[in-house]
Amino acid sequence: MLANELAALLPRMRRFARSITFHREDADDLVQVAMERALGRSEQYAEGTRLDSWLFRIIKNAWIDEVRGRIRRDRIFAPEEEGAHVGVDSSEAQQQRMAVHKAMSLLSEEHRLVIGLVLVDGLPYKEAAAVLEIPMGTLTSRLARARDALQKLLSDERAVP
Amino acid sequence: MNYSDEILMAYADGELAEPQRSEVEAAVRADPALASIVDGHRALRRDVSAAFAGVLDEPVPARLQAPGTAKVLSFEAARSARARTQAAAPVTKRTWPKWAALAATVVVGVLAGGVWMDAGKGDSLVSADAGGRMTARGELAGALSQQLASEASPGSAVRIGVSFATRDGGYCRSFSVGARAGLACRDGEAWRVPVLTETAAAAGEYRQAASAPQAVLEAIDERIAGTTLDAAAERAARERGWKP
Repeated sequence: MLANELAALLPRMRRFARSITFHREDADDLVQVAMERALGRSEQYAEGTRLDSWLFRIIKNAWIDEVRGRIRRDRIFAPEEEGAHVGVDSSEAQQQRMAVHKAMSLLSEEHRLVIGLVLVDGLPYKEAAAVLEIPMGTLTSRLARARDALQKLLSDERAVP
Repeated sequence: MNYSDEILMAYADGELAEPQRSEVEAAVRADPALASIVDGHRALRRDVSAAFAGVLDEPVPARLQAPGTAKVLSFEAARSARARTQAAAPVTKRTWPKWAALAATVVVGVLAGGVWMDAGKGDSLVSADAGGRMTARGELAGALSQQLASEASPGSAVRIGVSFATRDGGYCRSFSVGARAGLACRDGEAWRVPVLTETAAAAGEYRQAASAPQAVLEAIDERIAGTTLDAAAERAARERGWKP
């Protein structure tokens, strides 16, 4: 039952999509497009391989060749939406979350994807490399650069309150 | 010894294989500058992960749900709610049966010996000697030595279930890796694996297969002295290198 297995991955797909699109609606659009593609070409899924990696690859491709062009750039960072979490957590945790979201939005696409896969979703390097369709060595150096860039953005953010 | 930032990053992410992992670990222990780099990588990972963790708890919009999948989705929601509760509370012995009831997995066999290969990854997590005794290796061995049950390790494929002191004064830890679950007990510098089970989990649900199969529960009951270690005791045991 591929549909059930795909559905079980929806929360992780949504989280990954959120980390690369920032906007709830755009992220869900992306997941919807990816779900449709995945169900439409389920015969391309190779039994015994990781379904999550296959799905993340579909999301990545859907983002690059379809959804990215649709979103409005001015929606990229939507602080009012982030306010939804206020009250659940301490304001410090909330500030930290917003700082990370903002810094992520300033990363290059390439860096955001690798951070979304490895740091947000927690995929092993090998799987992340498979999703991005790049060699392990490229994944490692790209991830290191992406982390540097993100760390720098976060440090700048803290320096300017 | 100097290590590149990429090596230190991979170490922080639990991505190094032995023997390199142990070499870097020793260097990091000896050099506060290296330790600080590793801590930086882990802190960033934690912050980024935390910044998006809330999405997992949101209800999935109906438009994304394919027909006939509601049951699975509620299972997923229940699982993440459960995981949060467990992360917040000290792990006790009685949490295991709850996990077992939650996960929709079936034990299909207990592997009694022989070299067991992780078919999905193509690398071996345990080795077996001529007598069929299994020993953890690679990522599993590293995780057993380093990961805490009381702390999330998002970068690791290995989940630690519970840690406990045994009646003969040693330590054992239950674990799961994908659809496999088992018990590992410290023996000198190695982790012996007296029981390893494989569960039939749906593809793609590898992270959810965190139940403790009956065989593992029984192996725990056979060995445990008192209750499971709380977070502080577990950390202290790790600091001592899991020596009695």
